[in-house]
Amino acid sequence: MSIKKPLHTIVVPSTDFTTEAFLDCAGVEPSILFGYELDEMNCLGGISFTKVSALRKRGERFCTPWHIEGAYDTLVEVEVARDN
Amino acid sequence: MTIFKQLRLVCLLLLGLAWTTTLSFASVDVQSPTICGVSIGYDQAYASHNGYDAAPLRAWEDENQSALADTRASFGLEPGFIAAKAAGALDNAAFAQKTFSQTFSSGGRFAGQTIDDVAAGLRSGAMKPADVPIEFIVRDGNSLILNTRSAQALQQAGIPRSAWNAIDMTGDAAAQARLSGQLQRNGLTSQGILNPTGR
Repeated sequence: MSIKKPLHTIVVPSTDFTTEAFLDCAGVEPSILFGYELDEMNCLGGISFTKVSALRKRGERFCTPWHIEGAYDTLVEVEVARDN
Repeated sequence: MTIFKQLRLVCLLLLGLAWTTTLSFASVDVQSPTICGVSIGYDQAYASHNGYDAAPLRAWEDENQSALADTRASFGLEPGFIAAKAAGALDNAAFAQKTFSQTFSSGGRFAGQTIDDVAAGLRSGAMKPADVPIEFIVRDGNSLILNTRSAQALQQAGIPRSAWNAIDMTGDAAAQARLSGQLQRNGLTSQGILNPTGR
């Protein structure tokens, strides 16, 4: 059975973003970035990943309840159980 | 009978069927304007070619057979028209987020457009309410709208909720999970919020 471990929940709800969340793979550290407003100031927030060896993206429409539950606006580490 | 005569007969039968079907749809709209949402509901529920998933509606129908029979009898509706029930469900529907952006997301059908753009399209007739589907979920007796920006565009264009293209996603587990996350992150209960704020 796979386990999801929450690591970080973003500072504002994604419904409050002032920009779309986007994946920035331009640098050496792929990042998920988004704009938000804090005390009437426009801010850029995000999560950067270091030492990335592979990357895979799943469109929202293909997400199952398992992908969403406990992971909404939250970075989770997924530990996949290997039975064999 | 030659092959051509057989073909002609088949074509005539098909044309006759199409004409009869169109006539019956039109008569419902004309005679009962209060339930004009039914034709939209029919399209979304049963036309397999239009891209909508009818499974949630069919599941709902299976669970509510007696209520459906009563409604059909009272309105004299064909089975497909029961989707009008879904359209009415939006009358008092709330939203699941406190704020919304003016621009639609790049992954959706209105990518790059603003709420004003879509509202203008609806007002001019370039776009019909059926082109702006509104997904909703019924939770704890409350209807919650999942497409906040689309709903804002329809409201801005002055389209009454009874004419919205409502799609019941209550039976969709992934949509339910998204709604739970959205409500929780916005600090809302299943009652949602009636008037989200635009940014």
